[in-house]
Amino acid sequence: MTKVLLADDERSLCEAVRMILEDAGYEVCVAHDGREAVDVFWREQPDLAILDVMMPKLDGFEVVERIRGMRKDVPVLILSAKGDIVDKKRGFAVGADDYVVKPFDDDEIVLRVGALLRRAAMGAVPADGEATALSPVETRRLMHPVTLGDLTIDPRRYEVTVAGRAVTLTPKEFQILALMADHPGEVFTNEELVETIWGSEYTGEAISIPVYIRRIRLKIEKDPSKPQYLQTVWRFGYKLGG
Amino acid sequence: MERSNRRLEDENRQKSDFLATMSHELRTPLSSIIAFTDIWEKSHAGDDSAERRLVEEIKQNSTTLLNMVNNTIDAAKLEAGSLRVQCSDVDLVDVVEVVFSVAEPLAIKEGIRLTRTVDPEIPFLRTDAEAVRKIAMNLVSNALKYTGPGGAVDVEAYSAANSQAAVLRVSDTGCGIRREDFETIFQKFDRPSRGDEPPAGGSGLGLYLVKSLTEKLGGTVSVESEVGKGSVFTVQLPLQCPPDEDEGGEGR
Repeated sequence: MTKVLLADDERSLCEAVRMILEDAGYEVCVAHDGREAVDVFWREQPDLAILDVMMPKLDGFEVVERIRGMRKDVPVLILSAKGDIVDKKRGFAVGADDYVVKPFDDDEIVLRVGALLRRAAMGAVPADGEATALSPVETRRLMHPVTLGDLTIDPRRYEVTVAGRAVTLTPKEFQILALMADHPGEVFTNEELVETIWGSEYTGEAISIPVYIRRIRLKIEKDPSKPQYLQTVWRFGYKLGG
Repeated sequence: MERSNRRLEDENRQKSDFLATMSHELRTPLSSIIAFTDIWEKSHAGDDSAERRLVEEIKQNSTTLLNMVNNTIDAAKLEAGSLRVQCSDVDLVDVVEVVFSVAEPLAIKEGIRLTRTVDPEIPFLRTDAEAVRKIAMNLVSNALKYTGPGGAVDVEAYSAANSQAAVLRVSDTGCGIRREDFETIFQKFDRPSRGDEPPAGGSGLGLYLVKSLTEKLGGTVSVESEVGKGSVFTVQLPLQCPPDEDEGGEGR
């Protein structure tokens, strides 16, 4: 079972998040201050860590730094009531992979944990730190045809049809759609899409995922202003539903 | 002069520290309440009991309280000059979609018809996504608050005639606003009259935040209204990030 470290000094909230994660099928080990979090991380070797920022003894940022000194490959999600860009930048600068501002939807926590673990498993950041993008050949090999309502995506033929009508997508548009079709209903962050499709040499600032999503919607949605297939999950990313 | 500047710096630092602490201390227990009600609802899916309705009331009121806390903290940050703009590519299609998903259940419950019309080719904005969402959410919440059962609220988003801005327009068939209140409704804590009815609940910060955030993003907001017929709020937002603001947004 996938193990998650959860560290928050607010015991009530910690208990709520623990229940949410266990209900989603994760094994959870808990810490209530920063020093305990580091000790539990070392002892339990979790697959992912969720850390509050404002904890006694060591704050969440300091815990991230200590964790990164032990393991670079374990995803870290910061959970904080402090949503300022200064705090977010600090979180990412010390090595966190994601930052969620309280309060959060329980689905959001589960989605983000799932996305981080998926990224780690897909090798988005392999042990040597170099991410590799999916080549078009790898895209086709990974996936099977998927049909959602009137939309069919066939990676082996590099074809997309809507109600039987062929749709022309650029290579990157197709790769985005095919990747999401291989995980229908799962939410992908902008960063995840950029790293998987383009590789780690690009950043979210160089590639505008919203622009690609718009172009795809204009081609596949009956009403692109009310997307049925390519849906937005606010503060998170996009998913292929329908 | 130097002592005065130091005192002002100390005061600003104290305000920022206070905001950070209050943000954490208020939001954390509310997070617990909302999280536990979510857990209860999930474990009692399909339950239509009186207990479920009590839990729904707890959740709804907690969410209302959280929105008031968030508005208060945002207003305080704006006043302290500590609210930073984080620019990224923003599609108003996404903003309207998320606001709609939150507002639609409330509109249905109140018997109000909520509609949206978004130009699917509306230009992208290089702006703060969360600020735009707050502007749209506050306008729609206000419109629903001042529109009675059987009324209508419409959300439109389209390109401005000069193509240099995007327009977000929220109209309602509510009680309307008196002309003499057109300026004061954007002030803090103002809650416009609803004729013989008492003022609607809330912190009175919604429209203040709409105006303040819009101006922070380099835009404008205006209102047209007729008492007894309804109101139209129009926000124009520039396509580009305001100068001197943070271009390092995360694009979420």
